[in-house]
Amino acid sequence: MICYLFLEPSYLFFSPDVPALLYYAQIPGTIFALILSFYIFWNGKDLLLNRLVLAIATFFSLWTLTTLIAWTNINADFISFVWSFFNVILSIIAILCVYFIYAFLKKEVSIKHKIFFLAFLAPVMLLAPTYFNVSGFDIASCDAFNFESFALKTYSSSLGFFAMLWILGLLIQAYRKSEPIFKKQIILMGLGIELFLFSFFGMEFVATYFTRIGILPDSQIELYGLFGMVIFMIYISILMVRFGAFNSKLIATQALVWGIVALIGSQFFFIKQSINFILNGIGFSATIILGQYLIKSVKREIEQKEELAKLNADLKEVIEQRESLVHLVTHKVKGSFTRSKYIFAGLLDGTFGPISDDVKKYAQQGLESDNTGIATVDLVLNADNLQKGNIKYDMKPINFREVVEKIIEEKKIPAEAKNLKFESEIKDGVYSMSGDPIWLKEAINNLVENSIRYTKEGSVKVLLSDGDKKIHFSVKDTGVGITDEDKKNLFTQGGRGKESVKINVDSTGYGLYSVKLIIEAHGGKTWAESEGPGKGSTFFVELPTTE
Amino acid sequence: MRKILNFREHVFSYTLAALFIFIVTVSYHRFMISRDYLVGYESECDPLAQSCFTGCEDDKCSEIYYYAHAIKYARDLHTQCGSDITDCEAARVCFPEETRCSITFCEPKEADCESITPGSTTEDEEINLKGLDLGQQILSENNL
Repeated sequence: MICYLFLEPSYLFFSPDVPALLYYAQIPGTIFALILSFYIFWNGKDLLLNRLVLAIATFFSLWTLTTLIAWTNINADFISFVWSFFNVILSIIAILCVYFIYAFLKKEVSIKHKIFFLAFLAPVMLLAPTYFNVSGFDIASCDAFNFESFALKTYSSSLGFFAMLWILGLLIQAYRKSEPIFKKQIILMGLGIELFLFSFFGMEFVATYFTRIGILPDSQIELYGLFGMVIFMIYISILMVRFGAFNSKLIATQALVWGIVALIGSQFFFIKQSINFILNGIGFSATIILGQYLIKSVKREIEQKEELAKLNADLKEVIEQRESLVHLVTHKVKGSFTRSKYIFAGLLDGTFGPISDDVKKYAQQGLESDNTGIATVDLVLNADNLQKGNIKYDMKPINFREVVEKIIEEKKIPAEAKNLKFESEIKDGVYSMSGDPIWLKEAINNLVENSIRYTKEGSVKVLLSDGDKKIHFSVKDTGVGITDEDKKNLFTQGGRGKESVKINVDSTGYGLYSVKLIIEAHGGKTWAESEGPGKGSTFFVELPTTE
Repeated sequence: MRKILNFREHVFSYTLAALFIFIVTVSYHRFMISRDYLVGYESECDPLAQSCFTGCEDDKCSEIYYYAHAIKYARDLHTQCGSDITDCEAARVCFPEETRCSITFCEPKEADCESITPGSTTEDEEINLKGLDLGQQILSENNL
């Protein structure tokens, strides 16, 4: 049976009485999508993500083919046959897109998920060859709109919109937990797939329902929706080139370039005016030249990236080895210091018998030197453990005032021994908080000790107050001060100020770094202020109260 | 055991592929071989004798034509008329042995119809009877 009012096409769908640009511009786009997806698949046949890209592109190509046949062919048997696949292909594309996003986000797709996907497809697939899908064909208008099931049509369209929401949910959930580099990929992939689904299902929906209720004369507007696949493939290409997704490297860029060349080249078949032919020729040539340039640039960039990645991996390995060595050395050094400390202590307390006053004096110096050495090693080891997250804080309700009072009591003597005026002011307030008293004491002790160490003369003043549900601690000194340049490195790993090194050559640069890590682990912040070298410094700590 | 695990891993793709091949085969048989579907078309209608739907010959509607809605079973229509129904007399009528055939004329109460004899509107059943009468007439003329 043929549609007697229409002209017969050649080669299934090349009809002379349809707008060529709208109908046939889909073909190069679809071929481009197929080639690109096949390249992706070929470069990683075992990767689920690559297989899914090929599956989506294949079903999309089937959709393009069936749509073109439905719109241009005049054989009722054949059109009815392809019409029966519309709902099936739509639904499969929707579900494949969801599956694709699961694979992209490296989420586990369990057997339950797969059965769930199949359950969504079951109604359209099982009813596809029956009268519940397509019952007949109108050869006067050459379509089956009046004979297709409204319920199944609504189901497959709804599945598309449902897939959009499902994907959006998955992407938002993953975005919140991802590393910054993957966040960019999520945005790109999200935009690509959502735009694809929106244009594909949106246009299909508008075309079908607006035609059905008489707003549009026919549903050929749905052909615009097919451009969504080109958008999707462009986003996939960006992901491949920028992030090396799909493991396809240079070949993807080549596919992109030659796909665009094929797209522009195909326009030669539809151009009838000579000026357009010349203009398209210029565009075609320019695309080939610029495409070659792009391929070379990408090749260079990929090589550089690979070299950088290799260097980065080597560097990481070296750092790990160095860290391991430092850890080993510090432990060995600490062990040596400890053994030596006990020997000096034994000498001093008479374990090894009576000693002379001179030996006693040297033993005392040796003991003090060992204590300093052990404290330095502890500082480095603590900073390392704090940074790696190896420290487990014993968080419990504490009164921060007690921690500060203990430090004041302990540090008053060494400060006064240096002839420094040691002052403290603790205002009445709420100092209850949740924290580990041992590590908080370590942090505050570091700050106060720091001020005493770098102050030759003058005073050190400790201040504690509260306000805005926060505890405010500060230690102000009249010491060496801090330059603006040093301020930047002050709380960093191994960061030492130029002025501080003049006074304390043994400075490790890990003290303030440890303070920062401890305070931040308690939800607070720490910083320093100084008017400049020789003008003293003030170190601040702000911690949240529990009230 | 390994095969079972492999099937569990690929349950989605295997099932989808199997179902897709199945529906392609069944649909091909239904539409291309059995022609198991209905065909709708515009059948001839005489406005002097019947209440007809009207359509425009061109976009400006400078000329109108008259038609009735016809639906036939594709296999029957193909047997009677071949691929092209344009000049097929059998396409205008329903034969007694055809169970899935209807020719619907315009209903003036519901639509803009063209009829020279107002009030001569027939119900669907009457229309089908008329179609049957005409069908029997053609059958006897052609000794079918």
